[in-house]
Amino acid sequence: MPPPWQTYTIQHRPDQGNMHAVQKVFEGAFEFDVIYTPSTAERTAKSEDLSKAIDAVAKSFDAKYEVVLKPQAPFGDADHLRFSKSLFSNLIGGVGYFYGDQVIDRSYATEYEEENEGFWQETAEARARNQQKTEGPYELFTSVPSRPFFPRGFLWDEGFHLLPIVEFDPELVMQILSSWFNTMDEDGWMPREQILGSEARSKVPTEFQVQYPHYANPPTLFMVLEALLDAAGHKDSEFFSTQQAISGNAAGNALANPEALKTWLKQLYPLLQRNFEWYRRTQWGDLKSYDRPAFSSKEAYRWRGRSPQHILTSGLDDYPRAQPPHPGELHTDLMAWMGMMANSIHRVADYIGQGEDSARYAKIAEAIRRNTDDLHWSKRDKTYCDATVDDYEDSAHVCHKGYISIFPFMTGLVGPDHEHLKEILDLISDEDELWSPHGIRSLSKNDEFYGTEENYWRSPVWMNMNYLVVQQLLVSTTQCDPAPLITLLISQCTEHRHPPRPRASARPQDVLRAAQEPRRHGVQVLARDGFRVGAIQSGNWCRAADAAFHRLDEPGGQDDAYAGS
Amino acid sequence: MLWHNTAYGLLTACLATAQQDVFTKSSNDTLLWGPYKPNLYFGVRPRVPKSLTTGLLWGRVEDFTNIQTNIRYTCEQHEGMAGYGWDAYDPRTGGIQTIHDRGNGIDLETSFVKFDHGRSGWGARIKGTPREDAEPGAGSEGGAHTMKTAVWFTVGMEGLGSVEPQDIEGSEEAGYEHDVVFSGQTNDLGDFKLTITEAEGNSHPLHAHPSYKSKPLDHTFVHSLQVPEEALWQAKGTSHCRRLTHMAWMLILTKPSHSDHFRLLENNCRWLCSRIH
Repeated sequence: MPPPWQTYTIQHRPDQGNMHAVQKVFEGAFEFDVIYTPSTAERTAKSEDLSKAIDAVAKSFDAKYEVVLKPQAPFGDADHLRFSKSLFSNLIGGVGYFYGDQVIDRSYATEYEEENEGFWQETAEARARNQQKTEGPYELFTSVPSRPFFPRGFLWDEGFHLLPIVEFDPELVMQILSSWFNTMDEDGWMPREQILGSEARSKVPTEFQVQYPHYANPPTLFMVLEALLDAAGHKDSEFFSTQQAISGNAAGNALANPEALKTWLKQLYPLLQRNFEWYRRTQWGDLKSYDRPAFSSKEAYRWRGRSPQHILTSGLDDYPRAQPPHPGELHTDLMAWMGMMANSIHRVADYIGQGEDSARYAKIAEAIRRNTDDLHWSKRDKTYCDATVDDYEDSAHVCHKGYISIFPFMTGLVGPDHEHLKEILDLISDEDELWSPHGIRSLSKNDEFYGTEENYWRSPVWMNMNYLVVQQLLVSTTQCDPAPLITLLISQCTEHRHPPRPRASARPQDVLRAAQEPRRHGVQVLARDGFRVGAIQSGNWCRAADAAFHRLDEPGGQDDAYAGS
Repeated sequence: MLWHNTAYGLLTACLATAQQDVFTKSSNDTLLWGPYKPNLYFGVRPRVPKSLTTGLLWGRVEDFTNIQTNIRYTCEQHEGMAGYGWDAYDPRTGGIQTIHDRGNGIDLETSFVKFDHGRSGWGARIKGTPREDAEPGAGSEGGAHTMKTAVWFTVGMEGLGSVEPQDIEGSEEAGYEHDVVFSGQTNDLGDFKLTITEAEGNSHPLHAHPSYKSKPLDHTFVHSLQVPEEALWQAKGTSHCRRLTHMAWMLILTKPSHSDHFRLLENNCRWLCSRIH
């Protein structure tokens, strides 16, 4: 009988065809090359060229990484650097191109308006009618939350994925944003999870494949527009000179010219407007049917697509909300996202010289800011809360302290002089509420639902949310030193600074391991849809947090943060 | 409440064209190729629809049982990888990925680079190194340096266009002795060549069984198929069909004597799919 290494060989049958398998059998170490040469190539590369190119790539990546992201002590030491380069490379190396049809229910059933009490039963029935059809093809250039578990584009993840890339390759970010916004339909809706083609669908259970055009998702891409403007909004900003210094080739050239950013934003602008108006039109909250005095009679929001257990569309799946669900609910987090979105599009309009629009968006942003306080601030609980309608048809707050309570802060609606800033900072820093030794908890330790049931957004420390907190502490306040929180977060995302055993290289599962450590202490840290499903390679939201640390230029905060650790 | 405006449809069409102008050709050239199939451990494809796609599979081939579960292709949680991912990656130039495959006792390095900012194509190097902690197997009693690993590189064409191995006639039944060169073309890519090299310095298993003579393992084997695209890659609905394809590939890769099953599946896939749905 032949040995297995002989048996497991494919039949040698080279022929015409559209699928070819090439097999080699090796003993011990091996290497081989695959070289693609277009007929237009200036030269035909050989294996020697490949060897040189691989050396050059490693060196140029290292150089570019350090010039652009400027890791600060102690993140410049060998261990941290290797780790953060690996985290970053996995994020950017995980960018994929997807093409194919997707499954969408465009029945626009009246049940999907969710206007009646008991609406979640009606929508379940409407969904069960299975009106979905495949449509497309669509194409999408995007990063992915997890290569084994979520190898496809997710709207709410994508903004967080792109933030760390803005400075490294702004034009790649612009290309990805364009690709996402081009999936928008005529109404202004984008599928929140893009499952394109049968290969992508093979990883998703049938019941989760259908996208619904009344479902929203956190509009995180608008954060990225702001990041681009922050980085590249001024001609004389250091950003452009850095870009020019490192590119010297095609990379980022488009953006090395500020006019290109402007041109691109001008082209994107109608899509941004359409998307913004879609949120306002479809996710509106009811102010007129109930006695809800507020600065503006328009600005109030409610996620569609909720069930008694979940608001999956919010991204905060099982965070405690009003019970039972009510069509008169108002959701703090969506209100806060809308404020961020309005600010973002206001800045874009301003930047591209759309003065009238800019003024209009500024007014909307202001109305959202004012209404957030009028509708969501509970004087009794001294925190921001969702609102619902009680048995007497009166508007009533539903308060579960946690991320919801600080969402207006996280999205920049609570500035340094805001009257409620102190209460928010107190909540964040209270060890019996949100502060944990591992970051800011999703739900207060004092809440009755803390750590209960699925426990997905009911205690775990989420890196992307913590990133927003850090960012706001850095930019919006002078009253609170972000250093202690940053210290905690980095310890969750990296290996221990002095690893017990030296390792050849830090890997994503080290993120997992490091992040699982605190679990023993009763706190769970989640970088993306992490540990409940056990997704390995879930470091992409950690990368967003990591980026925040690199941006710490304030010498004081920096040194103080790490001197003692 | 719904509000359709056909003008927007037109606008989108214009936008799509106009946006091409913001992103320069040279910039787009650098982004054309990449490991853009992140669901695979290593899958290179261009950023255009229905085109050339490549993938990497490998497995330790030292016994008749483990191979059923040890062939790697799509990134999976349950394969006990001791980590994998890019150590360095720049979308404009390329990068280096390492894959620590504890189950197969081997570490792989897959480097991917673009030549002349993508204008002269790209290259990938697949490098395998037996792990220090590799369990000795039936084929590696002499030490990890005698470990037997099989690697399959897949080359597919999704849409119109072609890709096929050169020297179909000249190649002996026993496989290619040297580099394998594919040539092909698509509308987007034009004419191209894809070369899979046979590097000097590799060792290949030698054994005394007569089967070696007709198929020496220092040769490279190529198996070509015409896969009905609409049924297998695009069919409606159809994670089932996709699974069939995958199954068929596994069969053909691991159980050559059963490759008739593949023909059967291939011929019947449409029928099966229509029955499943």
